[in-house]
Amino acid sequence: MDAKRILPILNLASGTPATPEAVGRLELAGADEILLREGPDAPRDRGWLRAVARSVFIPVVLEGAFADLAEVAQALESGADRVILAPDAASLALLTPAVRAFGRTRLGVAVNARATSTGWRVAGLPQDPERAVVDWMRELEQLGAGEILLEAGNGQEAAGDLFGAAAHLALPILCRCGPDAWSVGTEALLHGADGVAFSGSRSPAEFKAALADLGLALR
Amino acid sequence: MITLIHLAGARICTLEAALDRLGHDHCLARTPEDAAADGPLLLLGTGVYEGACAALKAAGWWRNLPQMVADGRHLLGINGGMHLLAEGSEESPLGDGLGLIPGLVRHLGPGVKVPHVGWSQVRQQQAHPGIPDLHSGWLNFAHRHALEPTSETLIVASHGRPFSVLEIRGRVLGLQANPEKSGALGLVFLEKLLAAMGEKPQPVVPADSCN
Repeated sequence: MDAKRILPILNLASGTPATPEAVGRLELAGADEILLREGPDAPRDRGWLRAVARSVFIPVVLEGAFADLAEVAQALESGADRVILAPDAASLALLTPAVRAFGRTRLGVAVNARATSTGWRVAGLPQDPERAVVDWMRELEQLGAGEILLEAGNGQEAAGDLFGAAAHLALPILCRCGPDAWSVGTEALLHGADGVAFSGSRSPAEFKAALADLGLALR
Repeated sequence: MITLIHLAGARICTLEAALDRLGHDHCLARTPEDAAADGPLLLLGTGVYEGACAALKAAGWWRNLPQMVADGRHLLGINGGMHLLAEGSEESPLGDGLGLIPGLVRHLGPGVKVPHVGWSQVRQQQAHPGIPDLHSGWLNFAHRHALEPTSETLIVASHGRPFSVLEIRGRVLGLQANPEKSGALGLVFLEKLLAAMGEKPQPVVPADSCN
C-alpha cells in the first residue's frame, strides 16, 4: 500500500537558508517529506543544504530556480532527494538534460494553474497564456518530469476538478496549497493527488489527524 | 569498516549521515584500491542505470566486485545499486548487470504512477536469521524499476504489482528501499542489515582509515 504524502513547506525568504533545527522539528512533527521552497531571487549559493539534508532521515525536496546543470548537480549531491524546477524559462530548459544526467526520479516541475471561464490554464507561461494545464503537464511528462507540484491559484473551490483531471497522468502529482488551506489539499487528495505540500502554522501530524476519517492511506 | 562506493550523482552524503548516526565507521572509495581492507561494501545507484554501469567499469569496480564477494566481502546494493547487482535491467536492455542477484529488473507499471515515490508498506515473505519482520511497517522508495519477487525474496511491497524489497543471496544483499530516508524504522532496519553483514558500530570514527 502506498501512503499519501504530507509535506510541510519551509519557505526560504531571500538570503534566509533552512537550518537543521527547523527541518528536525518538521520531521518530529510527522512530515513524510520536507519541501524547501526558495524565492525567485534566493541566493544561488546553497552551501547550507548539505547540513540540512544530513540532519533528517526523511526525504528533502528543493524547489527553486536553477541557472544551469551544475547548480542542479550541486543541489542533488548536497543531499536533496529531488529538485523541483521553478516554472521560469531558464529552469524549464534544464529539465530534459537534467533528467538525462540524474534520472527522472529526481526531477520535478512546479506548475501554477489559474481558473478561467474556459477551464484551467497555466499561469506564468507568457509564450502560451491559453495553454490548458493538463496538456502542459502531459508535455512536461514527455520531456522527462518525474513529478508535478501543482498549485491552483484562483478558483480553489474547483480544485478537485483540476486534481481529478491531473490524476489521469502517469506521474505523481503533489498539490501545493497556501497557508493552512487544508480544504484545498484535502480535495486534491480525495481526487487522486499523491500528496500535499502546505505552509502555515499547523503541523503535519495535525493535518494527518484531520484526514484520518477519509479513508486515505497515511503513514 | 564500511566502504561506500563512490559514484558521481549518487546521494552519498545522507547515507553517510545515517551511518554516522548509527555509529559506524565508514570511508568513501573511488576505486577498489581505495576500499577499506575489510568490512562490507555499500553501493548506491545514481538514477541512471547505464551511466552507473559505465562509471563502475571505468573505476574498476565492475571487474573486482564479484571477486571481492568471492573473497568474503559482503556487498549491499541500495535502490539503484540493487539493480546493478541483478542480471540486467529493462532500463538498459542491451547491457548485462553484475549478475550477483538472479533476475531482471523490470519497469514498474503500466497502470500506476511512475516513478514510485514515497512511503509503502512492506511485507515479509521469507524469514531470515538476523533480519527482523517489519510487521507491515512503512519504508521510503524512489524508483522506476524493480526486481520481480521470487520464492526466495525476503521482503516485498506493492506498487500496482508486487516487487522485491530485500534479497539476500549469500554475501550479496539488495534493498530497494532507501533506509536512510525511512525515518526511525529505516535506521533500525539498516542497523540490522549491517549486523547481518558482520558490521558492528564503532564509538570513534578514525579520520584517515581509507587506503
